[in-house]
Amino acid sequence: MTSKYAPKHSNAQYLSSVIVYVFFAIFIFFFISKVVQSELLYFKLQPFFSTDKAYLEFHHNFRMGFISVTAQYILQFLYFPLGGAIILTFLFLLVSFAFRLIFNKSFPSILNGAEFIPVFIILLSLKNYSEVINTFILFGLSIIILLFNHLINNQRIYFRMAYHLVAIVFSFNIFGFLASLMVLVGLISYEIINKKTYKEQILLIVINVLTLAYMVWYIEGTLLAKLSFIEASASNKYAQLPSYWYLLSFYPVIILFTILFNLRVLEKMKEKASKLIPLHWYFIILFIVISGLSFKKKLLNDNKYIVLIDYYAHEEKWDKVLKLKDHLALNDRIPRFQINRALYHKGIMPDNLFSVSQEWGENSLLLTNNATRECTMNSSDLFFDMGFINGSRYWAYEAQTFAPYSPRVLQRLAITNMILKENILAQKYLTILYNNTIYKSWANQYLKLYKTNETAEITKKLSVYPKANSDSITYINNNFPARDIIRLLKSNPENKMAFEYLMSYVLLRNELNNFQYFLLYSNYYPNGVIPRTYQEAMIFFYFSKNLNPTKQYFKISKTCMKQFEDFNKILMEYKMDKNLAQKNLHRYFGDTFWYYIAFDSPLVTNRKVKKRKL
Amino acid sequence: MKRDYLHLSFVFICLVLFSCTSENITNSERLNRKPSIFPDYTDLVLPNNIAPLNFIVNEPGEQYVVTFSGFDNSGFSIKSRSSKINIPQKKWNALLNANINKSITIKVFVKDNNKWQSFDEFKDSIVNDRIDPFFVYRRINTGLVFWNNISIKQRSLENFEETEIINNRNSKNGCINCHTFQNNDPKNLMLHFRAGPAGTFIKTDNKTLWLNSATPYTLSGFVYPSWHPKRNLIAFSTNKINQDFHGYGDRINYVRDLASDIVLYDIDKNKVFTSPEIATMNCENLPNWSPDGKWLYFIRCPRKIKGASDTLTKYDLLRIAYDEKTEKFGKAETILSSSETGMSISHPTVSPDGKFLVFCMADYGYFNINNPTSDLYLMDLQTLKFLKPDINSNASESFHGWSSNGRWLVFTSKRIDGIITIPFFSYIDENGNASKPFPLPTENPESIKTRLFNYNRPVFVLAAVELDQNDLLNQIQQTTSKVWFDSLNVDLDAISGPTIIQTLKKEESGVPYMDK
Repeated sequence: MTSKYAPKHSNAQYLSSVIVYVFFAIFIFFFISKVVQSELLYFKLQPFFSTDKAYLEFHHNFRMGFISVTAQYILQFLYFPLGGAIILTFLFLLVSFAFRLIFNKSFPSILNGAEFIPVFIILLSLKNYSEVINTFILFGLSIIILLFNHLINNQRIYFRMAYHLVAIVFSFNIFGFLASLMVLVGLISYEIINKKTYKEQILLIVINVLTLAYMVWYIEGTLLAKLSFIEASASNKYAQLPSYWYLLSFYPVIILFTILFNLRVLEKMKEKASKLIPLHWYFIILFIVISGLSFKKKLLNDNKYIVLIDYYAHEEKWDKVLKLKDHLALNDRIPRFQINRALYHKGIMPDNLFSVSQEWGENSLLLTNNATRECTMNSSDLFFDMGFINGSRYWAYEAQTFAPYSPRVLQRLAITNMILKENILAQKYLTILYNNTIYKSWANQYLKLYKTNETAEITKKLSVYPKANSDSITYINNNFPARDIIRLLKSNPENKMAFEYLMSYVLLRNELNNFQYFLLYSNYYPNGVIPRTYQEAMIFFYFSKNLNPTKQYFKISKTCMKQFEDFNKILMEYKMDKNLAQKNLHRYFGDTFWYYIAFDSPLVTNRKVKKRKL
Repeated sequence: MKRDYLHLSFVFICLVLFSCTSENITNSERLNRKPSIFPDYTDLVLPNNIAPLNFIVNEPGEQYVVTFSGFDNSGFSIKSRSSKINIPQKKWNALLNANINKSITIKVFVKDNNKWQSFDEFKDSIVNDRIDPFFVYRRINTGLVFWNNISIKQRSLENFEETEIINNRNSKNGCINCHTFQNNDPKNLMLHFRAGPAGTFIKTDNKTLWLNSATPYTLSGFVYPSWHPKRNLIAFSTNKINQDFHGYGDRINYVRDLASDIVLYDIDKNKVFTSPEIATMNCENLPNWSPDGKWLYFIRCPRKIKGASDTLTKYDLLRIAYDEKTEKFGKAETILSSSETGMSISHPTVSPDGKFLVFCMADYGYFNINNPTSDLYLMDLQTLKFLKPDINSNASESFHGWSSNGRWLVFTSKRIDGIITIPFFSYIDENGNASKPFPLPTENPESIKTRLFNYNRPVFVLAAVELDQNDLLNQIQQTTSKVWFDSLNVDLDAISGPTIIQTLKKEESGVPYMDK
């Protein structure tokens, strides 16, 4: 049935709608491919779909399991940047169109174009790089429920009541509390808009609210069962999807709009306005303005840079990582860790260690101390590069605790186990990856060789990855990672990465005795010519031991000597008050070891990594 | 002879039936070997109430026919284009029930390159000793430092149904561990919660407790439990635990205790007490009651000397008499010494008939789950002689438990892939002979290979645990009640021994930084 307020569409109106939709699609496509970058979404979310029974069983454990599995299936195609943008654009269009349909039927007096509001909200939420497909599915199902409600609008109150009950119970059991709340609000608002009798309205509202309250109280096993009806996040039994919050705020907006536009006065205003400027022009202007603003970096969420730097590091685009070194959003421990990795891979770590902010000290060089979820896979990456394959595997297992089916984790576990010749384990992870569309061929290249027992060929294929340093590592020291690195060096003194990381580690901890000790016993500087940062540390060490720097084995360049003198001169000028001298010292010596230990080191700033609660 | 004849006639009928469907397997080429199947379900002893043992035929082929037949010519056959053989539950149950104290015969035919091949048949014996219908386990990840999505689950052994008792997503992602029952009775349950709402949850027929078990007199809250078989009394260890991580391929981590004691908790009196015999300066751990409740078995090792290698940490097996009327212990006696075996003993578990004790032995330590040298041993408690049953593998065999009738042993093993613990079951007859173990039957046998989660601490239960998750969650968000430590009736030595936590200096709890 169509409401008496339903607008009558002319051909011109349909044409304007098509124009709006075309502009809308173009805007979304560019927004996703250029601003959001769907490959970053893929990298952050690590979606994985498999037909493997164990995988499906795992998802079956969640109330949102069905949605989650469907979402994973769609999300995995975001692996392809262009394909990902097309898929998301299509979904956005689909949702907008479905909303248009429901507005025309359920909320006829609402302003045309309101169907784009939820999509804009989801678009903005995309910049948080959180789950998004689930939202689409949820939207779709809610719309179907509401559309069916429209079909039974003329049925008796008891029939509608029964349908409402079923709809709420169904959405609650399958999709959780928030979905059923959305459905409830939608159904109630529909009843209000369609001007049922007050008696009917009140009856339905009471029944619907009581049903949902009962479901929450009885079915939802939460710690705060009493609160969960009021506080949506209390239903944390199953995966929480942040974008629900946007949706939740959307329904009240619809109701508000509907009530407002139901008023005759506003109805007339709307008619007058549409006579002045065709409606679609408002939206075309809106898209252009939003597009322009969106492409400006300022509008971009800092989250993007945090994901972006991890992504570049994962892709080994070290130049791009270094380009982000001064970005304000990247002052956290993990972005700094990626920048340090880039310094090593570009071969400039010994000379330029302090040319980047080292405010986290050794805690942004190695992440194992007080590690958090985000540290796990990054630590695995670092140790993998270093040839500490056991350590890399260990951290990949820790990462798997949080994301059992992350392709990145599964791939790492497959490779490390292949390198360590743990063939049964390697085949386990390869088999899981083989069941995924994206990784099928990658996994199959090894599985085929395992089947035919061509181990030599497997070893040959693995030559593109770092070699296992040694089997002599006995412990993985989370709190004292340097100990592992020393062991790596003992078994293979040629491990340059381990050496540079060890030297950086002791420098960042200002352990100059250890620094000098390791330097003396290394084979890297046979003529005593050492990199700039090392010179800065050694000159400091010599003076602290009352040794003449010019007569020592490790040579200190004239420039370094001069700089050290100048550094001290400035300090003297300010009567050794380093706080007063800081500005000047930063200007000339901000990238030196001396400045770091005077101002930036956590030993001075007392900056600590937040301890993980056990 | 008659039996063989009947069996052959059954197989023949099946073959004729399949022949009618244009497949000619009567003229199959006979391969004089057993088929390779996964899991290896050949030559087993099975209870008559076990779930279907679905398996994969690891032989190349386009089509598979498997015949299942019993002593009296009863049976059925399965035809499949896939190598996965899914056995119908009803037919399987009927077959097992019709062949109690006899055996069933399984024969595999494979069609490869348009030619049928037949393999040697294999047999599984069916015994009249039922297995407990459920086991409860903790589902955990492979990570050792972090945890996420931990759940306590119960799995039916009679079919493939599995339900969740509690998931840590509901308890603020805290750790849940050490589920224990009294005499396999699902009504009397104990669970620890940590790092979310923290405490010990105990539920009996008439009582529900949510406890803060830490006291000034004990090293820690309650840790490893054993419920007295006749009384509302649980023996717990209290431990100062420390963990290190190996980088070896065959070991992942090592858990050591800096100190440990054993205490008893009386549920009815809310009282904790101990004895100087089980709370000494040495490390007492892993208590286990005998079925009559008159003996408490446990393990003990000397306190680790600072700097000494962990490989020197070896536990002895001891027992101590307990008088439940006076609540007094006798003198602890060593019944098996690590100096005698050269190995470290752990996880003693007495069978319900009191005749046998199963324990683990490994090269060192007691936390054997990640130690591939850990194997299971069986001790005759009358003679105190022990043997290594043929149920072990090169991987770690560790946690184990007895069914209520004392005929079935469940134990965890990492033999499938070296990293995931899977429960295995073995029949132990009256003389202590163990049958070939078989892994947990699963609907899709391949999922054992691709599983990413551990079956941790499998414990048999007589029926499904009927614990309302909401009730449990509502209970554990209440304030914990404190336990009362009975210091008056304990000799001073007991509570001034290892329980003085201050004696554990900081440097003992970690590895020193950089040895040059």
